[in-house]
Amino acid sequence: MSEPATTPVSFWDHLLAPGLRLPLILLLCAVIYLPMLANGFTMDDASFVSRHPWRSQSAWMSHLQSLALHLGAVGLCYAMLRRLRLSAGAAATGALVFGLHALHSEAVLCITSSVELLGFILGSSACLLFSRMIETQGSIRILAGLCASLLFFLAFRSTETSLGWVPFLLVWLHARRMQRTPAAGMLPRADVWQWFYAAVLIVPLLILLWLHHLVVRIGMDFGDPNIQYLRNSLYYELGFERYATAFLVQGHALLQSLFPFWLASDYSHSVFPIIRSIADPWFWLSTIAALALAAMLVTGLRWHRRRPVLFAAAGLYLCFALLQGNFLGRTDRIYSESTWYTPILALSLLVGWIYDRVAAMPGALPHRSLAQITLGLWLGISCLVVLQRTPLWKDDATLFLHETQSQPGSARLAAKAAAVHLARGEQVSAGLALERAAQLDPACAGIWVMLGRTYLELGRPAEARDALKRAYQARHPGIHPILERLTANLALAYLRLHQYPQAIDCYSTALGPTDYFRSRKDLDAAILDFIQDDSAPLELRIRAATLRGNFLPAQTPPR
Amino acid sequence: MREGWKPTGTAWLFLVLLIPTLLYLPALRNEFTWDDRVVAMGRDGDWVRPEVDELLAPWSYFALPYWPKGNAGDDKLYRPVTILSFALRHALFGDAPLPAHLLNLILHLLAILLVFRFLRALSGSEVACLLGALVFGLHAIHSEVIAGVVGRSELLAFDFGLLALLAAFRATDSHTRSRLGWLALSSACLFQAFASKENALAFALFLPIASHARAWRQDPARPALLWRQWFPLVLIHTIGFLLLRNEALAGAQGNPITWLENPWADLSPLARIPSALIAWDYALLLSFFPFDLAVDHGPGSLPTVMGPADALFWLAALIATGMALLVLRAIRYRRRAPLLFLALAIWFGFSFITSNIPFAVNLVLAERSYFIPSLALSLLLVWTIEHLPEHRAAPALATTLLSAWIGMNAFTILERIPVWKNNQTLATYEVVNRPDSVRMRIVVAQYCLLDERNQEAANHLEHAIEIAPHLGRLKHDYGLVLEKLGRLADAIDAYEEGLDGRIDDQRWTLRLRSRLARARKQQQKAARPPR
Repeated sequence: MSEPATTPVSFWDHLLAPGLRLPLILLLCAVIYLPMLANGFTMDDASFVSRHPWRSQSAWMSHLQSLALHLGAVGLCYAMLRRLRLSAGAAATGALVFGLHALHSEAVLCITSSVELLGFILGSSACLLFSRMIETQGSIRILAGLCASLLFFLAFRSTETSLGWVPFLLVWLHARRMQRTPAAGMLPRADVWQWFYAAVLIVPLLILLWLHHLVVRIGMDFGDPNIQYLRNSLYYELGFERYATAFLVQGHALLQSLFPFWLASDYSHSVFPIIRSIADPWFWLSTIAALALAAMLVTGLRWHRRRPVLFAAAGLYLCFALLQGNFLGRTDRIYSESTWYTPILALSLLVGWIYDRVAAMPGALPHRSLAQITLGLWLGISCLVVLQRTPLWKDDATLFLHETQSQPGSARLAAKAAAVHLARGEQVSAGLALERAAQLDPACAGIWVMLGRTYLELGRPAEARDALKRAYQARHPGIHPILERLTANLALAYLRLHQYPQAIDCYSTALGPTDYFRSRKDLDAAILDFIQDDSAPLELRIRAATLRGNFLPAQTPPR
Repeated sequence: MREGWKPTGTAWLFLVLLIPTLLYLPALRNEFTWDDRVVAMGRDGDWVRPEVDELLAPWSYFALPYWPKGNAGDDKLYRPVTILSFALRHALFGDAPLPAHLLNLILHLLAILLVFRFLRALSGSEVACLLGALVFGLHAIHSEVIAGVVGRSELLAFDFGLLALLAAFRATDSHTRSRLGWLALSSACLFQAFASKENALAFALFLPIASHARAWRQDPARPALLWRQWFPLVLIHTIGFLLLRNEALAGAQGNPITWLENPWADLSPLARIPSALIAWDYALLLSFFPFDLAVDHGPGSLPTVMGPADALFWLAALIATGMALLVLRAIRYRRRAPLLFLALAIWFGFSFITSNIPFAVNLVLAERSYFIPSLALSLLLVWTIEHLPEHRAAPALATTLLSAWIGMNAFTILERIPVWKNNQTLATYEVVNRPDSVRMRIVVAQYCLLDERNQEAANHLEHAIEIAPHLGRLKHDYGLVLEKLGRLADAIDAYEEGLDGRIDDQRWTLRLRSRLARARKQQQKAARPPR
């Protein structure tokens, strides 16, 4: 009897074996993000690292930690897709899209934003454990519940955006139920365990709220209570303006979730204009965005039985996007790429679902080829964007000087670039950047003060005076926090223009007990010169000397 | 759409031409940049190039060098057909940039079409040939050639070269009187290719090699008799072209290669060749993954190997061994895998002359020099498609990977085109892209000076001096900036250091001396007590 013919196992069979898919995806993601290990600290990274003991103090190790977190998130994305009964190929493709989605680059590259990665890992692990808890029996169930509860608490504590896991958990559980038994009722059968399940989710929430209350009451720093206008202009808007603009931002985020090819590190109000009436052309784009989100909601609800994966995708996107969309409450940013880390899981679910649909089509070669080409094009461009963004996050100089070119409409980036120029002693370039920033956002007092100070350093006191006066008329962030800096510079400008009475008036306002910054040092020196100047009016010299004498003993320069 | 309609080969070819057209369309808004202003324009302010400004008799161009007289460019370059094309364009449209860019785009589309025809002549698979043509059309390393008007020389050389090849193929296949006609066309095109750019001379070797490869595709056992057929043709043209060139450049002195153009030019072969090998390897990498492009790959951008004591020397030796093994293997399997043999022949053959290995040229690495060699990638793709593994997932994987590559190239092209808008956009972007490029730092510093951003100019030049502390020309620019910043004593030091440093062009010595004298006079004037 002859032996049955066996097909020889080729190299390709080994390489494309299902067990190797996830490691290969993780390897690819690691290779694409590997150049980030050469980066230093940017923006608030250094202070973030010093405040969080679990982060390494060295930039290299910190970035390695972020990379490890991202790879862990990709692995969890694969697990979640598999748990929704998608095929291994579909889950791998979804995880690949998640791992190489360029919108994630900010969350991965900026150490401060790595809280989003942590929030995702903890939240998704908690979701997986929660569903495990429901499906198992006995003591394991209690143990899984306690672990899920702890993970939820840690996720909420990592970042406020993790609160989106609460509504999503309900969506996730419903999708899982519908996949197991599509004819099941809307609500699960009530039993005593339902109370335990509810406690697993609610207890960490209550502890978080209690802690939040405690921290705010005793005056500890919990988040940033002074929302800066440059970070979120919607914080100061109400009613129509806020909702219309928020929908516009949502539309932009949705588009960027699908095509993350034009990225920037800032989206301030000079990038997203505030919509003030329905006659504004942006209003119509905002309406389209609102309709798109509504369509997503309706379609997701309609397909909750037939296509639970799509229901879960729509639910996930809406839960997380709406939570941080300035609809329910005001967040600290109008929009940030890094906070869109978790909503991208919705795209992975969608891709996984499409993969299985296309694979199931009989003889659907053109469809399959089209899907492969689309996926390839998307992955290629997304990888390239990640590779291009990585060196930009090397340090503040590389980031801001580049970003002012790619996002020329951002006043905040122009001001940040000016700060880089000032640190390098390039006052003329700083002045040009600040003039642009002031043109983009004439209502920002901080920019006018920086510009006035730069004009002073350039030896243009008249222009400095005019710029500083504009700061008084500016609306945000409110003149109070920068009043001493403003008056010190203004006093200096008046002194240089020999307008002594105004200078002394400003000097009296500039005498704060705590501040000891460069403008104050310059002002002190200038006032001393003025007191010793015999040609100046005696009365004013005496007044200045009195003010200076009153002030000096209290002054202690920082060590 | 009609029921049952399926796209034909022509429709697919139209699509293959349409995609690059759409991607390169923004280039039509660009201005004249970099060398364009000196070489391709008839007039630019006070600058006049008479042979472009006024259309001469066509044969007159065969007596002219490529660079205009009195310019610092390499006066040993000879590209009469390219200058004739500039003059014709100028006669028809003046110095408007749009027609100049449009013509480049049209020539690129013609190149894609010719690549398709060339691949069809070598392979039976239409899909593979279409994909090969698409890969050539979307190869991002071509962006410099298409976006810069002076890239015309590459385009003309490639188009004429491939036309010569295709006509030669037809001549081989014909057995009637038309054979002579095809031969005449081939020979005319070959000569035009030579006269468009010097590196087209490699077509003299590539023409018989391609003919052989084509013959081996049909019959691997076919004896190598084609050399005899092609030898007289290529020999006559090569000698004729070299004689003409010699006559036209009779008075040329040959400007010395400056350090900024090529820092390896003065080095011993033991240092130059390993450095060039590393750059050549980098270019090979760029030919496969052209996603990190730059205008300048000069000093500061690529490492210089200082001799056998340098660890990079041994890396270069390893690269050389690898490349030699690759070439030997391709020669060995030339009959079994003629497409691979041809791919290697075109890449190595066309890039070797400008690689700084046989002799130093006036550049370290120019992306435009890899326009013709990148045809190798299309040949490689056709070969890969023909030899795709039997695994069921292989076509899906290949499709996804190829799409990813195409997507990356398309995105890179879209990003590079606006960079080439004008000299300022180019320099401003490139200094961020290649912060260690001395050349770009100098150019950006000049733009900063124009805007009175003196401190920024000083910072750029300080960065450049860190990389090239010995360069006299840099010290001249730095001294000038320091003077503007009011640091007269530092400026005098910079001028003095500049005179002690390396100066490739004696004009810089004169400038340095004159600046130094003036600065000293100013210093004395300032030190003199007021009367």
